[in-house]
Amino acid sequence: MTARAVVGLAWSLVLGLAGGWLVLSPWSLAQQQGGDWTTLTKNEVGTGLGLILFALLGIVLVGAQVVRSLRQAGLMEPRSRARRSAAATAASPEMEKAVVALAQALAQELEQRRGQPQGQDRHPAGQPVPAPWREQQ
Amino acid sequence: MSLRDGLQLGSLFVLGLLVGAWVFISPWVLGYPATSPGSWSPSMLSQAVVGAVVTVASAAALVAVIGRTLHLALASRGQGTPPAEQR
Repeated sequence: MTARAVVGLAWSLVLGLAGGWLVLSPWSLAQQQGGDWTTLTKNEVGTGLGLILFALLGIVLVGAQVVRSLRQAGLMEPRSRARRSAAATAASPEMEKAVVALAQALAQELEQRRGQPQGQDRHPAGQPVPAPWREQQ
Repeated sequence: MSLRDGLQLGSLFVLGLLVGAWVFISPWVLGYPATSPGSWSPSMLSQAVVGAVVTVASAAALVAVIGRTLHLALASRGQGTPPAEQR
């Protein structure tokens, strides 16, 4: 599998580079001087885009084959099993209990903080401390 | 599975071979203008080189993949199943 993937990816690289050069070559070789596209330009751009498409197809095909062989070798979970396990984790009662307990603990802590005095910005009687610049006036 | 994968890649390489051959011959088929009679213009040279590279790369990849696939198919026929590291 590895050898086939390397051959496929190398082929895709060569075709992609060749296609890119063909698309650009009418302008880089100064064969196209603005205006309508000549037959030469149309042919080179069309063929270059075709080569790029083949390169992309090769990458997709090799990628799909590598993923399939990894799944068959047990190095990757099959998609259906992965979905099922994710759904089971999300819906498990233990997870739900843990989330509820965490939410209750957070709510209790918030209530306790609200019950405490706010601290330095108030007098003991609850009156706000006047700003120093007001006293200077 | 291995045979099918090899055939899929092999058919893509055959298409690449055909496109490479077209890129190589298209300057003469479409009648690209030459700078002087008997000499190649830059675009003809560019297309010939690119066509040759694509054709050679596709032919080499095709030979490698078909050879490997046939080898695995024959090995699996001889031993029942192919060895794990070759799959």
